[in-house]
Amino acid sequence: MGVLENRFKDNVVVASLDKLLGWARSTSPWYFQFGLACCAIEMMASAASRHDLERIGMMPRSSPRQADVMIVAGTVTMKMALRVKKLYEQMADPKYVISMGSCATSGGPYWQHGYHVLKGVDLVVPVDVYIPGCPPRPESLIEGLLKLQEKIQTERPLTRKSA
Amino acid sequence: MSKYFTNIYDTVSTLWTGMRITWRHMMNIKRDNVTLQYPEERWPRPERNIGFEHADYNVIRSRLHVDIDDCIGCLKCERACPVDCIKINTIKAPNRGEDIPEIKHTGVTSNDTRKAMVVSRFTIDMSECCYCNLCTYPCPEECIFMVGGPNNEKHNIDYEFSEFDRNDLIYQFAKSITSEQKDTLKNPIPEVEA
Repeated sequence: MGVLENRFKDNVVVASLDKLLGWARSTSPWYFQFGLACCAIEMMASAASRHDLERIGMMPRSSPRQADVMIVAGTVTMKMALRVKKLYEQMADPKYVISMGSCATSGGPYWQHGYHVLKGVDLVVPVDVYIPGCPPRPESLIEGLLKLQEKIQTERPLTRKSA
Repeated sequence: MSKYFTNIYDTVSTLWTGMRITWRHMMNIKRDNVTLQYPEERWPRPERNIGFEHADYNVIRSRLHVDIDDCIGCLKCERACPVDCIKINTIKAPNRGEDIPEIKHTGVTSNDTRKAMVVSRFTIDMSECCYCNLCTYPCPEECIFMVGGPNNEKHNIDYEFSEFDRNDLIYQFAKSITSEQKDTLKNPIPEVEA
């Protein structure tokens, strides 16, 4: 967590600062170019000009240090799971994870007999939004991203959580 | 000296060519704009079916839905599923084709088939589903289908259903039955002879 996170009691100044921070974070979640399998094709399609992701303030970054959102697009194999974890740890706070497609959410078609596939990326990194589909359409991805934006907007990063 | 004027000419002419294209696109912004403003507008539904001759069947890869009142518990969709994401449990009904009002079980389907089984569990894990549509073909009552398409009057097309929790993607279709009700179904109380 950062320097300012969860440090203050709830009052008027902190509440409006929270809202400002939430607005700023939610309207520019830059995502990490991280395609693992066929879902990456749909992710590329939604970044292209037909379903322009920059309309909602998202642009792809090639480095985990510049990214806010990691879209896990595709089958996470056991070998890749270590890399997913490492890349997630290299991202700067606040960071969010979207599990895109059946394979990333639960192993998908490999959930029963896939000896080499991680059964859900939520076993290694905390996931915020699960998007179903095999692969999801670009519209589904954008709907999931809009849902994530709503979630970021309702967060209160500065306020100390009452126990 | 001539090179100096050639450079000036090149600058002006290439700038003119580029700006002319920019101007043409700016004037035709309606024609050249390809971006779909997604939450407001969306792709039209495809009208033709791809690959199969049945016009009734839907090829849109959207959410599965089950009309549980029509389900007879034949397990054909469970066997057809290539990834085994459909899970069905059934109990033999005490009297075939009779309603059981305690568990809201209807005895006869809309195709006038008398049901022999009570479906006690019908779950589809949409996060494991690969949207192949193979479960809809063997269904004798046509009660499992993908929403949208030919069923568009019943259900709108729905492929955007992302969730914050993974367990919300497991869809429960069967009506809730308590364990006591299950026991009475399995061991019906014998009628006392007078």
